[in-house]
Amino acid sequence: MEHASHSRGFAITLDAIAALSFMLMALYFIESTSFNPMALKGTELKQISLDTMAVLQKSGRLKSVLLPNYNGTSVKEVIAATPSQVCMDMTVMAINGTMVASISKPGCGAAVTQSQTVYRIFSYGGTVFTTTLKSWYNEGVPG
Amino acid sequence: MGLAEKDARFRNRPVRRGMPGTSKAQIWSLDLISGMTVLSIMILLFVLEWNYLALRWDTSASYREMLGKAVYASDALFTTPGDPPGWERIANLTGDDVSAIGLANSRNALDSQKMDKLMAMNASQGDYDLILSRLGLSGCQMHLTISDLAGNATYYDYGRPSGLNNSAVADRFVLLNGSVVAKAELEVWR
Repeated sequence: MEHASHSRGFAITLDAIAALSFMLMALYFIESTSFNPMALKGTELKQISLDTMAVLQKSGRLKSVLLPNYNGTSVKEVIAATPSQVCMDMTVMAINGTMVASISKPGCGAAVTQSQTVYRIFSYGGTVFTTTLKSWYNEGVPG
Repeated sequence: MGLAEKDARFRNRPVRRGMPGTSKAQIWSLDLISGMTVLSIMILLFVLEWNYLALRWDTSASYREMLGKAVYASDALFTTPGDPPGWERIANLTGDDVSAIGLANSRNALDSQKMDKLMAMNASQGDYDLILSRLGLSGCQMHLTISDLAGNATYYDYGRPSGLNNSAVADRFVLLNGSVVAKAELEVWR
């Protein structure tokens, strides 16, 4: 009778140890998770997108993609200088839908989380062009 | 049986020493001690773990606050001219003269005169504190650098560098002299 009572107590202790182990594992998981302040990521991304478009347009680099034999260097240089975790994809299209240029930041996958898109319209040589700049965070690169 | 006989039998009853009752009490005490030891270790582990997590959350909240300040201060600096817009022409700038500091003529296009004025205000601690307060960075320190896209040449350097790896940084693009694209980095730290 006394032996049976002890066995029951031991079984309860095992349950408690298992539960505590799970809880410790959960705490360890929370502890190992990096604390990234995501709340401001959208604002930051929007700012860097607007900045990029503004400096490309005001410096004349945006229109340079329309020049004959343009290799995209001046725009690529700016896009490459964005923070490492930021990805960008810029397209310039004529108003009739013809693709004029498409420049992407190297080493970026497709956007999987939030993205920001900025548009600009400008005219060159009597033709109207639309520029779309899409930005997102590269999931593989720590922030 | 008379009362005296009953009393004599009670007095002469066998006294039980080392019987099962006594042994049970001993086992129960050992169980209690071992149980309390295990429980104490568990509680201690949780307290230590919780304390560590609380510290991390506090650090995270502090970083989030600094990043917010860096982002909004950089927006004020690089997209607005300040208030009044010609604050750079005031000789001895005081808190009463200026309500907001901005360095741009238009979005991201920096005014070289405003930049020169800012650089001239780098040496004085009073001026530095004024800039901090007008950017909403009171209680923090700031360091602003403007360099070329490759990061090889620094055009402007203002404020106090932290030397820390947990400071909040806002990365922006700016335009110098209307044509030169440069990288601006505003670091905010405590």
